Amino acid sequence: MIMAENLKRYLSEATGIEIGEDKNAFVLDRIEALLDYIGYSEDEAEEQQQVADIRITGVDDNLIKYLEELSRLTLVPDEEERAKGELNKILDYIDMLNELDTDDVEPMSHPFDYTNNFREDDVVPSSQREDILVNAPQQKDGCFKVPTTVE
Amino acid sequence: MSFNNKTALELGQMIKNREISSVELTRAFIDNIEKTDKDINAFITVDAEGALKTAEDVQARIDAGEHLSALAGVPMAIKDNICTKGMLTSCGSKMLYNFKPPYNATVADRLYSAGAVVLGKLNMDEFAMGGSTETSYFGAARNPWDTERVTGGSSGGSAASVASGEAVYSLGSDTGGSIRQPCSFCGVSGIKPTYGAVSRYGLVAFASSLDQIGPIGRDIKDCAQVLSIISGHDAKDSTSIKTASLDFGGCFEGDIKGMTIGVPVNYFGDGLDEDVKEPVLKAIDTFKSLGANITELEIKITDYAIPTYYVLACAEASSNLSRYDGIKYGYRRKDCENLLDVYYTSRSDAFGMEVKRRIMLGSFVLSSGYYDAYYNKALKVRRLIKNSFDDAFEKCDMIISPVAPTVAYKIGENSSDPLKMYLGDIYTVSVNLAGIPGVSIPCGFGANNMPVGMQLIGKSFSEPKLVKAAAAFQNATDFHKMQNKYMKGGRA
Repeated sequence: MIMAENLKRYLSEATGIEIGEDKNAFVLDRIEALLDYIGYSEDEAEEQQQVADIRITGVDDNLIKYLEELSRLTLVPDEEERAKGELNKILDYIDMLNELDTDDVEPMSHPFDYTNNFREDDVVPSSQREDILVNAPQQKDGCFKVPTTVE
Repeated sequence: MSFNNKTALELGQMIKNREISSVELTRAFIDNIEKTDKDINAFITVDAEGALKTAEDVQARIDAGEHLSALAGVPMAIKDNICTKGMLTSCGSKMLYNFKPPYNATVADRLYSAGAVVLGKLNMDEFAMGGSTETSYFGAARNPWDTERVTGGSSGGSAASVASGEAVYSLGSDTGGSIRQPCSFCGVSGIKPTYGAVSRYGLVAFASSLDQIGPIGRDIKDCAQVLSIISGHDAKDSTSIKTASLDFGGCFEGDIKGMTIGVPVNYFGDGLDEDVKEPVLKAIDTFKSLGANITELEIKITDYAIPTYYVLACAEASSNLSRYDGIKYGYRRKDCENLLDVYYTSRSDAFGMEVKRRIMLGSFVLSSGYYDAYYNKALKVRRLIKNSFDDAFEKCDMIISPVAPTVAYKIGENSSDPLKMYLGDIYTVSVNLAGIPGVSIPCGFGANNMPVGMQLIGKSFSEPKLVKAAAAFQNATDFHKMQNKYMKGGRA
């Protein structure tokens, strides 16, 4: 755990007490138990750091490239500059949500608490293959055609 | 003969009374579209041949004594993100420039069964992302009250076609205000129904937990009539609520004595233009004079609705629009070397900048490391917004508010500043987040003699109550009957 290591070093420096090799594992173990007890999570801390970073540095070129990859889009340099400026402005604005305390609020992903709203499992006619393929940019032998994917 | 001052219900009655045939009426509207739409650009597709054929069929069935619906034989049009079998459904995007759906949306099926004559498909912001219909691949739609100005959006074509007399009524879709705001900008009436009241089957998805299809018409009675046809459970949409169609029996007389209308005072503060505020405040007086109780309240949380909306809508959009891969339908870049190349180049060629920006923002808020801070946070605020409306409806039957902070602005005026454009949705998005219904009806004119609308908001499935209040207002006022030069000059 990085945090435990850091704390150990900090304690050692602050007190001037060197922690010998033989005590190392014991001290680390105690610090980790303590961190665990107060509900510290390394993953969460990393996430918070990431979010804090973006609030300071803003959307940079690397993040734009990463978002293009996630979105399967290639922007030309002009568009990238524009997107960077606009996303920064929009994210700044979205940050106002942090004014609200939502610790005890259940997330709401849908207007109604509706789950597994299944229809009867009856067999009914579905679309015909040729009707669906009519819109395909390329087709072959009753299938969608794509460039070679496996050499 | 002029039909421009007639509503869909009146024209439906005239057809039944043999005062006019559906074919004559349809032909008159097609002629009018030919003349008018070069100015308005409300239509992406006009299907003259198909419409006339439908009109003949419907007329034959009416002549044979069949009762289809009160609107049988009346010509209408459909927003271009609602699937119509064999008829181009482009979503205003290059991505679907050639997409002819192999099936009908449930709403289209229900309208056809009710004897609707579909004139064609209507212009919109690309994939319904926008508030002005300027992001359409097919060019901006123009406001019939001033063609230098936007129609609003994203259902700009749906509102403009009705406002210009090119269609008697239309269907739009509303994810954050896309029916209500263009209605306000163009001086027509519209309803964003309760989430789950109308099937979304065949509506090209933008943000699935917010999207609803709804009607636009010359008055609220036409809208209610259309909504009674298209609403009701559909097994093909798992988010469609298992209830019967909405019933508006007894709502049109509009007796609202004793009804309590809430005025959220914080909706009338900073950011609302004076020329919009004034007609809405006058409308409140009208309701008072009609016997409604007016009570002031605050819904402070809606200040946070826009950031919440843009996080959630973009997150859902980034997922929904991942289906456009250049493989199954729509645009595909030629001569790609590998599959990834097909994805990247087809999507980059065919999506406009607003769509790209929203997909990227959505990808961001859903990505590892940012999910909790942005997406999950917004989901929690969504719950707070819903709770605030629940609390408000403990104190009143409905809420009255402006629809948009301004009247229709000039084409190009806001398109370079997305954030400014987003702020125009301040009064509408919270309704979608809460999943409740909202009605938009004309209540006056603002700067440059452009129409102003007001919004009535109610709890889930309170559409009949909202229609009753809107009908009471329209029975007492004439704002919905005002005609621009296209309405006056149209041959139809």
